[in-house]
Amino acid sequence: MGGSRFEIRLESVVGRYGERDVVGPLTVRFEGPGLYWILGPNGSGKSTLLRMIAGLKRPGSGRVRWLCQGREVAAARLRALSGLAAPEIQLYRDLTVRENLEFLARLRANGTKEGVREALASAGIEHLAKERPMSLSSGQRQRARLAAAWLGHPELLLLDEPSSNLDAEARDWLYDEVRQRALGSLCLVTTNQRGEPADGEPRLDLGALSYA
Amino acid sequence: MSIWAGATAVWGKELRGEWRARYSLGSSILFAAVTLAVLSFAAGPQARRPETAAVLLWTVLLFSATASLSNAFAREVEGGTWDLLRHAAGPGEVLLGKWLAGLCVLGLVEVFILAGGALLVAPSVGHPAGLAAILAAGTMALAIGLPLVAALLAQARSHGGLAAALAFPVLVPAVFAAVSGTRRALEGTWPGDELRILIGFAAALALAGWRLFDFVWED
Repeated sequence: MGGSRFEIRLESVVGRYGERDVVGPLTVRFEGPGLYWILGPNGSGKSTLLRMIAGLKRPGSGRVRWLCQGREVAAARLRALSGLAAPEIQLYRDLTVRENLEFLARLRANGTKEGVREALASAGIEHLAKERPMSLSSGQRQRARLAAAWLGHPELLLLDEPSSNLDAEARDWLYDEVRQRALGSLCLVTTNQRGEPADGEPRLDLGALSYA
Repeated sequence: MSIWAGATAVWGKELRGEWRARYSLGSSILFAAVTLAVLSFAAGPQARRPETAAVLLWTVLLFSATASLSNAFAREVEGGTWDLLRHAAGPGEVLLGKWLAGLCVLGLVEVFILAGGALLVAPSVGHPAGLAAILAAGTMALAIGLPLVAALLAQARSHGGLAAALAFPVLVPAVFAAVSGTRRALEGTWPGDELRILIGFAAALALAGWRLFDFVWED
């Protein structure tokens, strides 16, 4: 892994639903490669923040900037450079897990059949490649989402509560995998479990922030 | 990646899902079979007259198309795949892919309707090429217009009923032209004016949809 120089700059970003501000104003910089934790209790705006960083939600005010090797990244290019897994994002139920990943690889233009196989293997679900998502357990489905997110080794990996539905052993595996990937990518991971970040890992605690 | 490459990926995904789950085809063909049988029976020998046959054909086509295409985007929202798609693809790729898939599904439904119509109504066709051209242009207008309405309503709770209500003003000009053109083709005249209207209408819808889809795309 070459070591991503991906960078995210949040400039006075406010996440808003209707008239309600759910997060911000936030001015933060995340620099890759590395792992950053976004902490906070339910309702603190972690998922909203991640959706804005993923380009899925426009900030109510302020600006999200994406930079790769110091250059601004347009939204269209961001799709090829980033992977996202979130509890509310599902895979297509009529496609097998492998077909889902192949579809995403074609759209993002960052994956090959070999890349799909590698993503499935690293998520520990190669043997489930021909299954449809609905026939998987919730933990297996979560692994499939993770495989979809890190397919093609994206420069930016966004994981929203990735340990949900995983047992203790699988959580250990997950965080080992994420820490490994953070050596080469910028990884942002949200959690409401304060014990999940290791000592010394950078974190943004939305629950501890008070907004002016 | 080019828009075309992304669109073909979406197109392939849509057709594969349709083939496996029969989301649209099953209900549309059933609807078309029942409507065609009831209307042709009710109209009796009158159904063979060009003006009646044209109305019958486009009534069945319009509502079958509504049944098959009005859920194109709601399925993504309800299945939790809308954000997966939005994160991986651009709006143009998705819209074009959905249009192409809709055109394929509608084409299949249309083949069924035409075969059923030939069997149950058996009108005489004075200008087969004119009829084929009107069918192609009318189908294009429906396949472009209905997914746009579906996209607008994807996040709405009662999108089914709203789709019909919104599709009506959007598609009525096209259906009027299609009915008139079909009648003329059945009578043996080349429906040049209606073709121009339909092609212009389809092009205007496509252009407007292409420009406006970004707003639907935004959260």
